[in-house]
Amino acid sequence: MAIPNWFILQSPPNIDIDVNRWKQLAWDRVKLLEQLPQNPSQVVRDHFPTYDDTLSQIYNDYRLGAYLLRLVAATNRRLEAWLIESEGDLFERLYFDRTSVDLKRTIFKNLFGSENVMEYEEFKYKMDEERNEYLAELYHQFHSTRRGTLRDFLICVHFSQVPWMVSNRRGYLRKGWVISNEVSFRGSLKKAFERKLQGEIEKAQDLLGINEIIDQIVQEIEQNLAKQTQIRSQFSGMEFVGQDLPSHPEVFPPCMVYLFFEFEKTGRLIHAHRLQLGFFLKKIGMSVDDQLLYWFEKSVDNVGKSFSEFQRTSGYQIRHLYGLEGGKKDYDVPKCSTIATSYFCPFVHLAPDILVNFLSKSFLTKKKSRSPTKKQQENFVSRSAKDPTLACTQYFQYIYGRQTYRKIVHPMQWARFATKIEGLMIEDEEEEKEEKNNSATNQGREKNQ
Amino acid sequence: MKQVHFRNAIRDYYSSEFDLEELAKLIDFSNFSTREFGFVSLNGNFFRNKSFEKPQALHDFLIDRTPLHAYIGAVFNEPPSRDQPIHSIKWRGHELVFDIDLNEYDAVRKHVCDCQGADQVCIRCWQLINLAIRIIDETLRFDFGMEEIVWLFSGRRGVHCWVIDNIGFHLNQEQRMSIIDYLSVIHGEDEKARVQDRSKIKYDLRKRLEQTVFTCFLKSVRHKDLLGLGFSTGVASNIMKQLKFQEGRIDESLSRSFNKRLAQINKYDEILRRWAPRIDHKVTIDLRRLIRLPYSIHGKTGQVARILSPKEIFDFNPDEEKSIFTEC
Repeated sequence: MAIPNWFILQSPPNIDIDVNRWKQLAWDRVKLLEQLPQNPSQVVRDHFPTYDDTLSQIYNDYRLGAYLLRLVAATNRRLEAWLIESEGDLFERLYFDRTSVDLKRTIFKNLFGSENVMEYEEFKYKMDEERNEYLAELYHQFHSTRRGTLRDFLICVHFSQVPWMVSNRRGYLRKGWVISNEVSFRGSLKKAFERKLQGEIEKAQDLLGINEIIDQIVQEIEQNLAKQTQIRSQFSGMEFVGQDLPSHPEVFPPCMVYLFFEFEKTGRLIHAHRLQLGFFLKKIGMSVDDQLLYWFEKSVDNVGKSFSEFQRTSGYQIRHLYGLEGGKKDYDVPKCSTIATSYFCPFVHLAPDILVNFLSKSFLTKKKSRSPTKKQQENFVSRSAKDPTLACTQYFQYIYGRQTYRKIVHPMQWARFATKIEGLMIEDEEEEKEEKNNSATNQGREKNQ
Repeated sequence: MKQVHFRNAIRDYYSSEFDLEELAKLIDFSNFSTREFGFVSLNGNFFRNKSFEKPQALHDFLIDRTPLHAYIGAVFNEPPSRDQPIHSIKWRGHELVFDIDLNEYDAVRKHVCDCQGADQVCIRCWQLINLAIRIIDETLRFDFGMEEIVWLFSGRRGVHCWVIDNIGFHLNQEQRMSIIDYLSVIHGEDEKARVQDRSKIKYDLRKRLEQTVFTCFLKSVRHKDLLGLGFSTGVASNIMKQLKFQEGRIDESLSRSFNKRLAQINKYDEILRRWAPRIDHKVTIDLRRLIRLPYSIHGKTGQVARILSPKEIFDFNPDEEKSIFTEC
């Protein structure tokens, strides 16, 4: 069966096209990719109708536009990263919204390689696993409900293609095959798509330098697009700008508090922890220059290094966080589930004794006046083993003495709640009001004089 | 004087006992010329980025230079050399390797045996290595479908596992990392390392882990170990009596009832923390890392890093291994 016609890794249609029209198609694709994060469902509804056979010209145009963008990405590594990420998001959405069960199987084989994908029944028969109790349990789990039979299905993928699923033991691993339902493979499928697109971009490099006209269009789009993606990366930390949150570690979530004081104490953090804290400091409004200075002053590895030297070497990483280097991407703070697996969460990574010790040192403020009792601390510890985000939420509720309607699943959620409760936002507004009032009265006095 | 003895002993070994045909069973000689080797000379100098055109050239080098330690690395697209070091050439592949060393267990060994100091090794603490071999070997075979797995004595305080299947050779860093993650149930190295939640260890792995760990633990358990875990004197005596009655045979029902008793005193994690496999992650994940050359000498002990036959894998005792230094 053929892969769906929205699938941009299909070879592009006949390339006999007017130059300006081709350029326009590439810009249309850029526009589509830029609209996607704001309202993905709307983009899919507007641009990718389901009755696609009658609208094959639309899909041909999309592929032509995407093809030119691949050529552009081959000239610029920043744009390459941007394109891979944006097209990956679009792929994920279309796979979810616009793909039938049979087409999904075809996409699996196309992205992972047909030798790395096997149907559940075929696996049982080939591997002589007819009597495997766990397989029977899995089958029952995903095929017993009506919804399960319609939408979801079991599939086997070779372990080398889905390392994330192996790491997290998602699915049943047997004889080198990961057996699970289609839904749990989605993240790995997106990564496989991105890898394949990267390969296509690398191949596209060979096509450059052959035709002058094509080179000219590519150069023109590259210059304009590079400016546009640069602008996108400046919108970080707007939410808390001007509130000086970096000097109020008491409103930080526990993971960031731990890393913040660990760095203050030791002057060293491992790469993943540096990234985590760096993303957070950026999002709470620390400017890139302030962050450069912060890491330079606090780090113990800078002995004998001048600030300009530091900016040239380690500074690259910090500027990268702000989307000023590399892929020019405006990174967000990772969510709690990602932190639990790849970064640092005290409720996941600290041993019970150390966690209890850490929780007892809550940084008290006027609003945060309750330090957890020993019994309460033990409660958090036992809860953390099963559900770290719930333990974090309960810890928040306890120390602030307030209820939260939603579970804390993102460090910024903690920061927002805590800032509100501590009145840091209101104080600033009041200060502004006071300033305005003062200036108004001063002006009045001047007039009177 | 001592150095002369060492040199003669090493030369004797490499010229009379070292067999290239045995090495060929582990290493594919078709890409031998582009493989990296590293050595520690008798005066302690370490050098790497060395390659040999033919296996015989390596053999001649070992006899001629008598290195204290010999290491083998990855295969590259061109022969590594001092002028063309490995970071300037393209990586092609490396056998999937696991390193299990008693160093990794130093924080918890005191609960298992009475060894004093990190350098001491006894048959009781070697049980930890035997247990890790059992679990890793079974998991690689049944869960990952790997068939050609060879275990080698590292020459001192551990073992190396070589997966010589073609699939293992081409795995990238991320894929190797995923296998390590799958096998690891303990996060951290110290005594209070976090044990993964029970619900996250599923299917065959959990069954295998529990059965093997409890069986191994009960086989070598002492009354004071049970008391140390928090069992009451009565329960501890009962377990010891039952073990004595069964003459050391640990069947499934005994291991299951022990599991239940552990759950009652909330010490399930404690047993896993002490006994579950601890693998040196870096050796597996780092694609450019050197590992001891099979059938070479360990320069500190004089013992040979030899293949362990399937019969002796699970009951191997390092103390019984001969040292070429004591013979001379």
